Amino acid sequence: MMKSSKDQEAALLEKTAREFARKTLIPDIHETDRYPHGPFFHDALKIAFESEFLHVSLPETLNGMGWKLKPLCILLQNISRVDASMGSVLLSNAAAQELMLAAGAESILADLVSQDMAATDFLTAFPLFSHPNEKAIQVAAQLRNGNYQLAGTADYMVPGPIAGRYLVPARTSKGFSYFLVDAKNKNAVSGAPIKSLGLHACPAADIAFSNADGILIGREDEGAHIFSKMHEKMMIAAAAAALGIMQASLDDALKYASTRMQGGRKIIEWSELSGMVGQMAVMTKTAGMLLQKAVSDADAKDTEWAVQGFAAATRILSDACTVSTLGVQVLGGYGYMRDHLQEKRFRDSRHLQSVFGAPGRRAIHFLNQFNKSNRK
Amino acid sequence: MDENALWFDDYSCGLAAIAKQPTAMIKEIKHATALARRFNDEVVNKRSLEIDDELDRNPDALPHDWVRQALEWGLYTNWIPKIFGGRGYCFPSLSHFLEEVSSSCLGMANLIGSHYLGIAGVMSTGNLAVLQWLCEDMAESHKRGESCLASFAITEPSSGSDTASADLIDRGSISCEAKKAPGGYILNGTKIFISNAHFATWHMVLAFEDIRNPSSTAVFCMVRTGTKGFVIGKKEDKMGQRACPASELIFTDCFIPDKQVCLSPHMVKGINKPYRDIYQDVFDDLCSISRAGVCALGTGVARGVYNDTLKLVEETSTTDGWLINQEWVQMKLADMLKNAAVSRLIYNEVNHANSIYGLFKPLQTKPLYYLSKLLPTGWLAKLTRMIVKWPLVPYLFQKDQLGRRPEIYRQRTSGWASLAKFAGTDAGVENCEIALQILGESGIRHANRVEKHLRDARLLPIYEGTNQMNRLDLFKNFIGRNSRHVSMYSD
Ligand SMILES: Cc1cc2nc3c(=O)[nH]c(=O)nc-3n(C[C@H](O)[C@H](O)[C@H](O)COP(=O)(O)OP(=O)(O)OC[C@H]3O[C@@H](n4cnc5c(N)ncnc54)[C@H](O)[C@@H]3O)c2cc1C
Repeated sequence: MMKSSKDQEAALLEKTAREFARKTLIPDIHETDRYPHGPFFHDALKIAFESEFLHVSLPETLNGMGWKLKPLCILLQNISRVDASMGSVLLSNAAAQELMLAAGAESILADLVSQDMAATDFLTAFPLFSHPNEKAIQVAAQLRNGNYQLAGTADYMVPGPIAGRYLVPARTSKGFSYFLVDAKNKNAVSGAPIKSLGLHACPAADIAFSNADGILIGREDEGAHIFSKMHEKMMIAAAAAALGIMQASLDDALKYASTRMQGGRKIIEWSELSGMVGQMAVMTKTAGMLLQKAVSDADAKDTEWAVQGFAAATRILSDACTVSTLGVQVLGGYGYMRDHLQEKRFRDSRHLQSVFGAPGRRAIHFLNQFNKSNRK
Repeated sequence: MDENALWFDDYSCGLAAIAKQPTAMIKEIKHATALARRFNDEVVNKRSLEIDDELDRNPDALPHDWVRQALEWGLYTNWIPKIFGGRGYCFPSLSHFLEEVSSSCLGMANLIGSHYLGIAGVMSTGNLAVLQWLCEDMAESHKRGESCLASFAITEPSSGSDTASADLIDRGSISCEAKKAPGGYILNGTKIFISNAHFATWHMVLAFEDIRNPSSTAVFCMVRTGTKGFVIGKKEDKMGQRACPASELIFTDCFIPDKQVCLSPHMVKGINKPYRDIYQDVFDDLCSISRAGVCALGTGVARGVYNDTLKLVEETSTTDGWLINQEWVQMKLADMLKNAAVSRLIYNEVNHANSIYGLFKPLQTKPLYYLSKLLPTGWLAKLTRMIVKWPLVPYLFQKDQLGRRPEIYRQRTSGWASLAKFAGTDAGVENCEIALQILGESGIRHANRVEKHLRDARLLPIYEGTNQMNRLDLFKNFIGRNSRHVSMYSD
């Protein structure tokens, strides 16, 4: 059977992502995982930018691939299979872009893509690991002489220390709204990179605003609505990154367990251990199927896509933690060492699990969305 | 034996211990806990995050100042019995001390715990003579203001889980060889992942006269840092517990005199048991002690992360009000507290089992306990030195420990210790995971300590036997012994 041009495009993107990860991320992965004590992957990011990985989820008019989830998920899955830090830089940028599109701020994005700039300048930092319903928003916006000015601190902006601009939620008269602030604005000061559990090369920083000018994105007090539109799509994208971590964990566990000998046989031949690897395989395969369905339903705008996608993503993000834990345990003492990447996957999966807020609250957010969709 | 009576005795060690243990132990345990709290306040809390960060920046560095501070606080000799020149705190109080320190920093707790693991290794071979000179060397060094730590080295590149089981090691692949030579042994081979190796003066090393028949030819010996033919190799770059280095030991024609041999097949004459069974008993006795300690580490991290989470939760306001007032959070905090409390109960039960059925017994019977509290250390140590010089005493002691303890006693201490090891360490890791569930972004920040607790805790289900191997040990000791058709490691 002939492959459709869409399938061919997807296969090509997958191949490109894998090559990119293999050639540009693997060689320095141990050093870049030490950021900020080690180097930042500027060269890799430059290649990602030149390969238009940072545009992939945009509409075609903005050099993207048709405002679809599939290309973004292909990238995130295959890149995170090697390094979820790069995956998360792309994810955060895509979340910011998606939010701007959801708010109808296409012209700002058009302006951005039309300019010639460095990869880091193109990036928009976003509070990827928070949910506006959880922690109270610490930034307030005030309209002065027709301009909005922001004051307060935005926590954990990703990739705050290197981005060209910040997309920040700030309190407005009856709720909250999103604002875009230029990182060169001297009233917006980025803190040092925050040392964190995982995703070390995806830097985060707290950004302090002292009456910094911000451009309103969408309409005032519309923040909750546009967040929710972005959120339902980007949760699925985050799950793609988590799936990449699961696949890599499974690959390594299978390889190790099939060669490591204990008690005179390959450890995979002990039924207990083979059950552990089996559980990893079941979860990874299930996650693959869930993701595929969630992405195709989302791109086809299926009526149920948003709730189903959220449910699938919630499952995948959580199972990625289980799979990466099992992966460490299969490798025994070696799994705890930084020479083996499994300990990184263990950290990264937990870090990623906190995408868009505390994982423990996710089921509550889901039920709200579920009820809304049932009412419709 | 009546199954119900067995069930009662197996699972009520604490009750049986009430009448048998000296009540003054409770005061001593409280004292050890208070000491740990002060140590945390004055030393550990101030430096733990910083050291973790420094060692992330430079994985080859060694935190000598930590070792020094623990020395100044007397922490390497407090749990050495007075008869050997130490301060003679009762052994169960060590678990409580370790729990407390782990609640602040597991790396520091492991550094101290691994030192006592080395000493417990010697204790479990029943060699009173080696125990006497080793502990005295440590106590004397301490008096001079020098640290003299121990490590315990059994793991090899190709033998991890296998090592603690006679059944498995005989089928596995071993490389560390001890060749008999006039006046001692010559060691060749490599050990890996050895906690404290870079800081220790004495290493309890396991090697084999015949690497094709290891359990029947095992040699347990003490090797001093600086001995010709012995070098400390690569220091591992770990996910957590960075304050306690884990490193490689490399032996190349390293001569060890007989005086430093704790146990070998030539030393068990008169013990009516195959040496292979003795090998297993030594490991079971050692793990009965050490796994209580690891459960205490799990309990400590469970408590530490609970405390840190509670603090963060109390400070967090959400759009729905204070986070602490949300029911889902209250339930999760309750689970965390339950995990810490239950784990503590479990390691206490192991300590009770060890006190009445295991290696703690000699020093915790009431007359000996009180005598050792009343008499001055110098006097007791001198007396022991004299007694131990008389060869019959160490011989009888070792024979009694290795040859006469009823099997059911060993099953009880070993069964409980395995249960404690996986239950306590699973609880520690689980609490860290719950913390991340509640806290999201504030949980992943290094400065808030929660993520460090998780990285540190993740080692607990791996060392002292993986938690899988500990479940199998529990099966062997409490379940398999009464079941039909049972044979271990045969599926
Ligand atoms: C930081 C650190 C510090 C350490 N400190 C010390 C120390 O001070 N002294 C020391 O001697 N050792 C130490 N160790 C070693 C530790 O005890 C071993 O890592 C542990 O026993 C597991 O062995 P392994 O790593 O070789 O894993 P393996 O034994 O190779 O196990 C790999 C996997 O296979 C499973 N497996 C193996 N055999 C079986 C079986 N028969 N049935 C079912 N499953 C099986 C295991 O459960 C595990 O999941 C340390 C390790 C680390 C990581």
